[in-house]
Amino acid sequence: MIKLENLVKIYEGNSNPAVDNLSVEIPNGKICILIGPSGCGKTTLLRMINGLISPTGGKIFINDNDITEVDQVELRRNMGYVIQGTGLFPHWTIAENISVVPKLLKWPKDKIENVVNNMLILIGLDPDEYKNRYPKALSGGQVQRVGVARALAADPPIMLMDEPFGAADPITRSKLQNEFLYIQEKIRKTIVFVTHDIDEAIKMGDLIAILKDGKLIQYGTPDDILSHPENEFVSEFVGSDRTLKRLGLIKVRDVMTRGVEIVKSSDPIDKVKEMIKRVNNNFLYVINEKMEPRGYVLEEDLEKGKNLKEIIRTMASPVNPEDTLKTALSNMMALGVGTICVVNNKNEFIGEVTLNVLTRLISNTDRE
Amino acid sequence: MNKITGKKQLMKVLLIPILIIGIGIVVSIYYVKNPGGQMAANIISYSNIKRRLIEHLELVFVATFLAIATAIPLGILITRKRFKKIAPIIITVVNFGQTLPSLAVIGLMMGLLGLGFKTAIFALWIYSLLPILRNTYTGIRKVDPNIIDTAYGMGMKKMQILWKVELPLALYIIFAGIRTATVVNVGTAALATFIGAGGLGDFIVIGISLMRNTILLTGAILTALLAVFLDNILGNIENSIIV
Repeated sequence: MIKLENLVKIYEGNSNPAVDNLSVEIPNGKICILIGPSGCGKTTLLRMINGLISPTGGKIFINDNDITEVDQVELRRNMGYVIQGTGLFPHWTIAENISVVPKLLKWPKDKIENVVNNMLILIGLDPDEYKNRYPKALSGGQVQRVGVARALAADPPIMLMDEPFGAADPITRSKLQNEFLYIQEKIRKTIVFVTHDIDEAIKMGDLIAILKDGKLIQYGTPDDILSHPENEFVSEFVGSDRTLKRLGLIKVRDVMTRGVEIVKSSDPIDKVKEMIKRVNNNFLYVINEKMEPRGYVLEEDLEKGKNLKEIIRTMASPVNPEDTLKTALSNMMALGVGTICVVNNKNEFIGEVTLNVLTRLISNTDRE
Repeated sequence: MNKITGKKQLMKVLLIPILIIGIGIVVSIYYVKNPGGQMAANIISYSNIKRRLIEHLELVFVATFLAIATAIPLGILITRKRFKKIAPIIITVVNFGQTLPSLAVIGLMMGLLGLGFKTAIFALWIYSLLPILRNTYTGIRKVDPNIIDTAYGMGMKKMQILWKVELPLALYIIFAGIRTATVVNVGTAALATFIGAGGLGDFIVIGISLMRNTILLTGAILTALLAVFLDNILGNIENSIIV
């Protein structure tokens, strides 16, 4: 656990504190996002945690140890550090870059070699192909991944990340974020993550600390912050589309309807007619022999054809239970339909999400 | 990243230096065989050419070596936090040394230290300090601050950062300064003859005073070839430094 207690930082020749009496507790294994407009003190705060900047007042505890009482160099070697543009050493190969901290910690050679290989595999780069390349010979996204791998190499319990994906283009950034979340699932580090991008904060954070002029304005889960913004500043900062953003936090599996009646594409029309009356709905999903959804039939179309294949309509592309409601909504909108089916990873039909459910959810946010 | 690999590339790199040496030998043989008179023949001999060439090289290498040994540590020192404020003063002082005409520096040093090899070395040393000092200073200052920041953030110590990060990354620029200093010294060393320190300048000055073109050209061509030769060799080394 990282505990910041009444932290103050006043830079020399500056009357306004960069960090102003700030207290935060970051539980182990969570990603805590520090976010705010530029000059809010988020980077200063991060750099105080690994002792690159010393606080003017207040204390920082890591697992109940005051960081000023431990050796600063030791302290930093126990924290991964990733910054924007990664700061990879251009005169060293990828392998040499990744092994910086293990070498500083004087690990044996074969252990270091192992770590380098494992790290490259973890970030999805082929060790044999990339080990001996120089950073220059890598793409922007690859360089960012190596930056993360380097910070993780000595397996530090804590990671400090200062806009680690800030330099990447939007598509690469989103990919890097997903990969990193996937890695974090496995490694469960305590991560302090600085960003100025609220969407990134909502996506990546278990906890979000919103800062302004060095003060902590609100600290809570992304859902907390989106549904209950503390004040005008926070609601403005998270944006007027905060209700829509909440859809990006909720997984399909949490709201999907299971046990929906379906018909097989080989079923005779009469059976479908009967079923559609029974479920009191004006449409039914159609699946094939392998349980894969193929589309839907409307009640009004039933008279128009002799078998289902002639009257089946195109449905919105299905979502997975792990997708967010944002994806579900956008898939529905793409086709102008009010429902979407959910499939498992074998592409088998397992349920549906309807627009009604989404609308109810969104209106709840505002009424609370 | 211009790593020299394979025989072919090595040949390519060595071609020009070998060519220059060849031209130097041909020119020497030509003037020894055709000195243009008995008086000139006494001066243009193989042994004399060899002696002056070695003197010249001695002047250049000793002075450049001393300049490297002083300017690089000094350059590193003034990039350190504690000395940041005095950096511009030191650069200005050393800069002043180089704005003086080379002949004036040599003359001045003679006034202070008398004639001879040591005086010439001293003058050349002063003259070559600046390129190395300035390049060491800017080379280190130009290292991406983000890289230094991560180095600290990962728990590297100050000295580790200097040796493993700052110097290797500045090496390319520092070496360019050494190259400039060396080449400039080849030219300036030709003036060392005025204070009795020998070198290829001897041929030039004697050639002028005796109005013998052969003697003059022997000195002038060999000096020029030496400068081009060293520049080419050092240039190749510079290009092989990975940045």
